Amino acid sequence: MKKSFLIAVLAGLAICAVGPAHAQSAPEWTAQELEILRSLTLSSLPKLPPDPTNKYGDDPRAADFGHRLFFDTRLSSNGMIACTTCHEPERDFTDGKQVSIGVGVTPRNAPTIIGAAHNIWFFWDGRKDSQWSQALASLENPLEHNMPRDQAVEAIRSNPDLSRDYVAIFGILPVSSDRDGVNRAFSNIGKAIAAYERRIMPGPAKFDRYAEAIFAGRQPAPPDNLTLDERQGLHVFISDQLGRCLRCHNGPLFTNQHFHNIGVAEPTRQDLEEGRIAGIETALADEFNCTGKYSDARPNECAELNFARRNSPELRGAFKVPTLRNLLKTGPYMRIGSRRTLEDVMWHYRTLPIARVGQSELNDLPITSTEFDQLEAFLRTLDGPINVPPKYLRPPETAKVN
Amino acid sequence: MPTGYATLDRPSSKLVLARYQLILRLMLSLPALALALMCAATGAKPAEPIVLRTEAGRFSLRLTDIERPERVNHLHGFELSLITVDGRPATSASIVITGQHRYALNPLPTSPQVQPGPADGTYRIEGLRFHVAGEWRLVFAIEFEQIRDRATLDIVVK
Repeated sequence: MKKSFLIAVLAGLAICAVGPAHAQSAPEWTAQELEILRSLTLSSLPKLPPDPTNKYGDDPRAADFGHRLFFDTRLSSNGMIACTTCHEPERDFTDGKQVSIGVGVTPRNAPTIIGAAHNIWFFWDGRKDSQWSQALASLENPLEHNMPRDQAVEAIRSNPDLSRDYVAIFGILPVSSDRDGVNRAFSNIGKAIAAYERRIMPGPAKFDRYAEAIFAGRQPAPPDNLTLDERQGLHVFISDQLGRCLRCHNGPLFTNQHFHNIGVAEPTRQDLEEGRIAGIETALADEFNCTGKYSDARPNECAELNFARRNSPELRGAFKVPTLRNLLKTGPYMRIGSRRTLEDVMWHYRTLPIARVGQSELNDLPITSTEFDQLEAFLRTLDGPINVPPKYLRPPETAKVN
Repeated sequence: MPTGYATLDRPSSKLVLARYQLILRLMLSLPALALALMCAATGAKPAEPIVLRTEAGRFSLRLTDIERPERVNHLHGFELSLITVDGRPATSASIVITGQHRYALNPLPTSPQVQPGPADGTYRIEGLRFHVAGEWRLVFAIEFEQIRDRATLDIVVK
């Protein structure tokens, strides 16, 4: 009995001896918070699955061809607009403008392409359900490339290099009178561009490096250690009592892939848009959607389209939640570029503008001015490199670039 | 006082021993509890189905193949079997599933669909997505043989 008492006392002393060391470095994050942090880190981003609608999506030849097309101004009616006009690699695949300028002035701010291959819906109102069909809409839009599909296919045919590469990947080019063949070739152009875009992924940001160090139980290295303000901002970000940011900006890409109305108001009544409630109807009617004849998917692989929510009041004036990664080079912000800086974005959430279409979901947040500043400081830690083969950040030698 | 009873003031030695045994059992069961929690954290599915009774008691629902906890931003599906109060399988019932986040008040971002299952009174639910973590409430609105009733299921999405 005495012996077991002694063992118990020794064990207790051992625990006490270990205790103060832990107490000195008391964990800043609870187990629940650590679980949230893990869900936000880039290492939680799953490997990009194949796109069932695009059988060329992971074909390196298609990616190289798409790279050429992405930089090529010949795919525009005035010979001056390429995909890179609005998605410049140097600006993290945005253009730095309030709204994008193609052949005409568009009503939209260009979102980044980094990580976009993980998106479910494309365009701010989600009127496209694949990356390749999004590219097609931009090519044909009179304000963007203004390149009707038959002219786009003709632009490929008339260039020996482009037509040679096209035929090597997709087979023969159709004659212009073959409408279905032209549509098929046009869809292949989009699929090649998407094959290139799928390679453009986010690299680890300061936040990711900080979180990985914490998970590994070590002190983050000085350049990776979040400052006190950044950590406080992270606290605000993940707290459902404070910032409530995770309700829309969750997961490793900081988007829930859905559509919300946050009262971003167009400048004039003529510009008002219905948002997702109209976008989903356009997507369902789109000949280039997942279930269409130009998609490579089987009908049972189109779950997102088949189960999409429709005709619901909260979809009026609702637009897609953008990623929060790589914010430093991707301003201005919001779908119409109405917020020039991150500070302006914070101001939006402090002033809670009333929606002009539908009803804003935003509520008054119980956070102070200092906490808004800290939130902004945290958002800056989400800036990271682009994870892409370097050759894909430069114009290909054979493309016509202005 | 009858023999064998112990007062709170003066616990019998047997009762003290029983308390120690209880504490010991609880300590021994901690690893099992931890394992169960780990299973929950990794999205493991329970072996036991979930059984719900409708508000007016007209139907019971048995949900199988349902993830606990549900993962945020994934499309989910599960099997449902519907039984009437007198024990008959309710085949060809109308079942409409809606859901709402308990605090954010967002509705489901998808429109789940109910398809007939392989056996009488069984159904396959597809297209359920939760885009916000936290507590959600699913409502099953059921109509069968002109009887209407509702069941609710509270779930935690991680």
